[in-house]
Amino acid sequence: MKKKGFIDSLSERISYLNADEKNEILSYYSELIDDRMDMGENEEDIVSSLGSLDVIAENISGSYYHRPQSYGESTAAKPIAPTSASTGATTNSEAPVKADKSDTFKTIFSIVEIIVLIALAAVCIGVVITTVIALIVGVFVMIGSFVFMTHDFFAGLIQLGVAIIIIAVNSIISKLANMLSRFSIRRLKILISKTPA
Amino acid sequence: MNIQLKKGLVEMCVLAIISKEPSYGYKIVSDMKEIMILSESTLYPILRRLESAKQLTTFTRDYNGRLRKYYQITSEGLRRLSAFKDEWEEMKSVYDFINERSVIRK
Repeated sequence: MKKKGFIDSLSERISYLNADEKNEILSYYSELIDDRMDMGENEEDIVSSLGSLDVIAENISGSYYHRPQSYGESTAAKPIAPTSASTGATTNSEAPVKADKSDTFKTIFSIVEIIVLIALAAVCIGVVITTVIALIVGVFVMIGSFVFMTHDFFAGLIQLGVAIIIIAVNSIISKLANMLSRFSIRRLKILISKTPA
Repeated sequence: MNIQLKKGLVEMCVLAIISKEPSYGYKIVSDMKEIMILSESTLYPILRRLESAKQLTTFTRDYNGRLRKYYQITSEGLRRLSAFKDEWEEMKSVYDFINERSVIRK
């Protein structure tokens, strides 16, 4: 596989990330491949030496969520803790306990976040459906107003105004709800992919 | 080697590499080869972790008409490096003691 093929496949694997995070990763690999090509290495050899896309994607998803067992600093203290405890230093032995608490807190927090996001997404999708129906109604009211105008011009004009307001307000609300639901679904995808199995 | 220990050590190696001057992905992987093989895909999460812990910052420079990202150590990173060195100084004396006192029959 050449560089372009690799970047494209990687891009697909990490499509659950937001644009910034995705670009950061893609430019990281792109730069590495370019640098190695500048050093005279063969393009396809470089790509194959990067290893399987599964491993790369796994490493990436791991880096976007601190799983309790790979929590950088706090667990780094663990191998040292038994040593300090056995030598009588009690101050250090508190550190891992604190870390465990904060991990539990993180897990609870992310569960709450998932529930809130699901509720938000559901409400937003409901709002989108409702506003789309209202938009269709608005269009009918608008068409009706032209017919009405031939009988009573001013009443028809008022109806046209009402129709325009209905359409405008619903367009704005549906657009906002649509954006919110997309955001919450994207965030959900990230959270779920990060949740330790 | 214990996986958590190794992880911590790799972070310290990366901090040590960039402590002299800012460095970039390819150079860091090459410098690491002196002591261990570190794959590019393993380096990425380490850099991210160090960045979110504010132990390094990044900036981009133009190189050969493309962008290259440099990683630069922060004062927080330097503090962690020196704390690590102090800690290992202690560990080393314990190791020396174990080494001297232990009787291993082959």
